[in-house]
Amino acid sequence: MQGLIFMKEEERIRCPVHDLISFKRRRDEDLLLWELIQTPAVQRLRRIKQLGFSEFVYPGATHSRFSHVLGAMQMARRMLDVFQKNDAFEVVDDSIQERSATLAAALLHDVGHGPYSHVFEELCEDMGIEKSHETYTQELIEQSPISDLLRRYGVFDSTRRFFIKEPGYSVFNAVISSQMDCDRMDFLCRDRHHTGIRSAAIDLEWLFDSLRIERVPIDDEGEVREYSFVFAEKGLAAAEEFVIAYMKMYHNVYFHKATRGVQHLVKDMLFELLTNHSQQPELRSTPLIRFFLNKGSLDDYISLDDSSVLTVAHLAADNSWGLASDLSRRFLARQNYKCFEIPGTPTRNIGRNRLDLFRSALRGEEIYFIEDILSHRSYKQHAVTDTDFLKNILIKQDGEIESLGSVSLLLREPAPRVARVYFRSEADRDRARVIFRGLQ
Amino acid sequence: MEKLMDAESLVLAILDALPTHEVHGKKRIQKLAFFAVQTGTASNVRFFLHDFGPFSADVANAIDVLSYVGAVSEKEAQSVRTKRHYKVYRLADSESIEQHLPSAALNALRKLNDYSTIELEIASTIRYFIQKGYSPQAAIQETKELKPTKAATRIIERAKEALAGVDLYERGRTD
Repeated sequence: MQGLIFMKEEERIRCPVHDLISFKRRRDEDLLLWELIQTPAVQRLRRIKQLGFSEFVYPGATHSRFSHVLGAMQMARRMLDVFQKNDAFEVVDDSIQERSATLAAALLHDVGHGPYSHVFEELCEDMGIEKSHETYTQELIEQSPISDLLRRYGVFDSTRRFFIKEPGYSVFNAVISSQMDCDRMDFLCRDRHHTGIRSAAIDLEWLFDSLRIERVPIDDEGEVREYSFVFAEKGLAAAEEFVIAYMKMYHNVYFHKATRGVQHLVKDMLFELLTNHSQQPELRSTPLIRFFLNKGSLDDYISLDDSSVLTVAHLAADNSWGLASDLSRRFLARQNYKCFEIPGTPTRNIGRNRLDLFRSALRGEEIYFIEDILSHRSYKQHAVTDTDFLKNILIKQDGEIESLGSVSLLLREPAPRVARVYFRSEADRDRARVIFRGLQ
Repeated sequence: MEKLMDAESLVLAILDALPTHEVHGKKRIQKLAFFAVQTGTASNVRFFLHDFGPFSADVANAIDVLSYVGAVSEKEAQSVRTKRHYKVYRLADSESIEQHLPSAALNALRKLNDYSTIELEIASTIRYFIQKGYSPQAAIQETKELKPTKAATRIIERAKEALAGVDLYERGRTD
């Protein structure tokens, strides 16, 4: 097939995590991917940071979602190469088409992310815009030019399927959405690389070397079987390390207390701007405010990137719009919200009465606060009768295929919880600490 | 004026309303919370269509908070028959419940609690679309599109029965 854009015999992208990612013109699959990469929707991801505000803690973590989707696609390629290694092409009738669609889905899976994604989504909910980034992803795939490209290569329906339906029993769904999918494989390696964290290492080479395609029983009696990815027994330790790396990254990076503080501060800043100052002439014409004034239209959405948030922050900082300006200046100068971590007890809880008394006392003294109680991510065990069973990480041990959660003693510990309360000033935080200690 | 239930009070009231004071799985709590609101509980909890079904971040957060403070105990369990792993959420102290579900919601929840989680998942998705203005048939069609594996004919029939049993299989009840 001839692509509509110029492409050299071979195009290469140098990736700091996976080294060379190459695309060959003679392969239709690569032509499609190369053309998808050139679409404005995918290019927009260059301007959205993968880790949002984590750079406030890890200055190196300024990598983009664009680099991540390329890496996820590369991981999907390596997972799909296991078919070849196992001579497992009989898995589906049209494995070439399924392979192309899966790779396209890997490349497009984050295309609907907004700037500072999670803050932005929470803000959308607060402002009554009932659309998640998954919905925007679906809409972008269904419209030109992405839909045209997917149709031209005959993979529109098979690619769209990944985003509009619940995952069924399919080995291809496991590449896009499972506990060891291409997304997670890439972001754990990439985020570790850019944050500079030395723990949470993943042995990708050993993982891929241990990966097989097997027919897995998906009912109690073992009569119904589906193809799925399964680790050989030698992959057990590497698979455990992968899950532990995931938990560590949540604890050390994604839920870092300073990062969460900036998220709360920026959300408050944007909420204040939108609810009290959106009619300011300087703000009305900015892409971010226009998006909310137009109730979340797709056209406005795709013009948003991280700079949209920075633009309104600068405008607010340069004006005198009360709290919004104050928070904007604080954001730009990294004067973060202050965190009080509620101390744990031997039973790991503080009692609801005490929490309620704490809340009442803070309100009584008119101290603004935000509660942030998090349950850390851990391995999720899906039952054999569950439609999500193939999302498990599966291990073949002594001829039996088991979920990693059943065979690993390391992963049985419940994930720890952390309870934090954020305040606007150090004085408020210190006062809250005194109040809390007084509530014995 | 009736005080609106926040997410924490809603979760506690749901656990309190069930004879065993426990629910298996976070997803089931989400579905019961959705139905509690649909059947007349005054609440400020919001539900959006996430992960292909109605979901409330407020409820998810409330479960974490209540588990953290010990108002709800959270234990891992495994079914002997299906080997299924699940979390059991149990009310720690029913004496401390300050807000209760109104009787209509209480009765509805007790009826709905006889249905499996997957049946409630399908029923809540159908109801979500009905509430958005779809006819019941169109809502079922939309649900089948979203959940082709789970929305098997038998499950759809059970979901319809569940909704009809609590007067939610029609437009307008709480629209």
